[in-house]
Amino acid sequence: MVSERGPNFGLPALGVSVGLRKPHIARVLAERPALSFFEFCPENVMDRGGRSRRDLLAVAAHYPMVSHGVGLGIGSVDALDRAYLGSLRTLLRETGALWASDHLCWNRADGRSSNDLLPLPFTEEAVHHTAARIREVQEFLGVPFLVENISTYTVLPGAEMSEGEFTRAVLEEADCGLLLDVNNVYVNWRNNGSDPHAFLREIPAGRVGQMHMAGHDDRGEVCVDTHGSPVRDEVWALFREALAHTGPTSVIIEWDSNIPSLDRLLDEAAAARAIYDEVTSHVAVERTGAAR
Amino acid sequence: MTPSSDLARTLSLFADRLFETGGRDPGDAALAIAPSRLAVYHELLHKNYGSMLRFAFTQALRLADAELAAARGADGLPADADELIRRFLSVEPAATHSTREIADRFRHYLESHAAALFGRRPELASLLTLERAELRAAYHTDDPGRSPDDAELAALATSDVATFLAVRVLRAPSASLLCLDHAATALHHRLRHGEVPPVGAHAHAERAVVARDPRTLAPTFATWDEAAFRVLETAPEGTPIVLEELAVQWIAALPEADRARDEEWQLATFATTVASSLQSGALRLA
Repeated sequence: MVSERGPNFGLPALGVSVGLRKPHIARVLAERPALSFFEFCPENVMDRGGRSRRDLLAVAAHYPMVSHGVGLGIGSVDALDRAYLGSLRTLLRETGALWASDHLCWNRADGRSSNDLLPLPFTEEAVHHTAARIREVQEFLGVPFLVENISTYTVLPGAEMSEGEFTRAVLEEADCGLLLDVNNVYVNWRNNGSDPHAFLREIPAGRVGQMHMAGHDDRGEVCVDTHGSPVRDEVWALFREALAHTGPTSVIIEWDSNIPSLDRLLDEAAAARAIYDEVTSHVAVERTGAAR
Repeated sequence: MTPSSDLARTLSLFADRLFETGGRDPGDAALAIAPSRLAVYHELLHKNYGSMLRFAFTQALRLADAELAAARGADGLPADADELIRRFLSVEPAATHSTREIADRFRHYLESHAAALFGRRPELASLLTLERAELRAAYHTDDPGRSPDDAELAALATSDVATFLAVRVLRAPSASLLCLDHAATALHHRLRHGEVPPVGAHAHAERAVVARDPRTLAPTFATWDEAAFRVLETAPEGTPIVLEELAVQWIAALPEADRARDEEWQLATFATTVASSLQSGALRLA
């Protein structure tokens, strides 16, 4: 459960909060809700001036911040986008972000950018390629770096290992952390038949530095990761199981489409916090007992 | 990573299937993906690009939708703007996540592959230019200099000529000066309010300025006559200039007829334009 860096990938466990979204920023600045941190999407601000930049820096003046990108495409074969990385590093410094994350995926091939999170083949070649790029990015950014397990709608042909084994291999070879998206674990179970309990056992728990919780669109034959609805009961159950593996961490409720009121979002965070407090207090008691 | 590696080949084939590069899906023979699942990836890709383009070109795509519906497939045009975006993705998708790059590539695609649309709606070109300037006003990096507050503006308005002409200003890099073939500012306004004006309703040329409001940081739109517009054209972008020098350069750049007009007209035109532009964010104090 504990990595060389200590539990939670050596990062502070900040408890439960929400992703910072544009419709809520005015209220956040005016009322300063009692939240331990915010997660922001850097692509909404990088290389930009104007309102989005002003608002983000105003929030960062009052809250600890973490960055969660969607545009790096770390597993892509096209050359790393140095301009993108430079802009990201500048923004991380300006916001004082405690760590940065992006997705364990690819998004660009032969100069075509999907602006989406696409699945990597679970092969040794992909492990080595992706891990080498993560090392380079982590060193360049100068802050701890986490990759997030993505939701997928297919497993590419030629898989040499399970998703859990692939994720573990990348994390260990890259020496980076994992942003565990619990909803994605559930969605992949439904879409690809991958065992979520096995996935949670296969990943190195001590490398989990953050978690995501979100809703999805259950269409029967396929679940689409929309971040547009409340967290489903099955995902709450997996959240308990994941927290029991990892212990205290930092959890973000993501809600990106059909964005509700800030009050509704905070209610969802309160529901997550109730589970988080219950499970992590047991984990703490067990650890104390084990230490004796 | 060599381009001939298994990983590179797999990602390239996936991209071919996703973007339907060249207008065709190479199919399972290239890379096997269940049709229902490939459909999800197509849906996400189209939704993603569609939302970015409809954000960048909100009114232009509204106008395109109306025109494409009226065209009913004439001249090989698609049925709606969503299909236009799908065709765009098969030809020249963006290389980065940047909304501005995607907008520029889409504009280029329209000009090179959907010229018939401009033939049916000539004012679409000016509207695209206006909305691209709107995106610049919203997203361009923070401008140098500062904007005057209300008290400073009031003091400028009542200051003597010598004090006024000693002020140093610069043109905001986030602002765009546009000479448009069609009256896109009014067209944009009408589309925003749900109207789709008939072809030719905004056929006259205009000089428009799109700037970043210094208070709200939202884009502002204004149209100017030639003489006033020339004040802003004369002001160098991002580089300070004393108003007296700007005035001299502006007068030198005026057409002969305006140069011959009386000093009172020249000073009033110049001062009004400067004051209004400081308020709209097109000019800033250096």
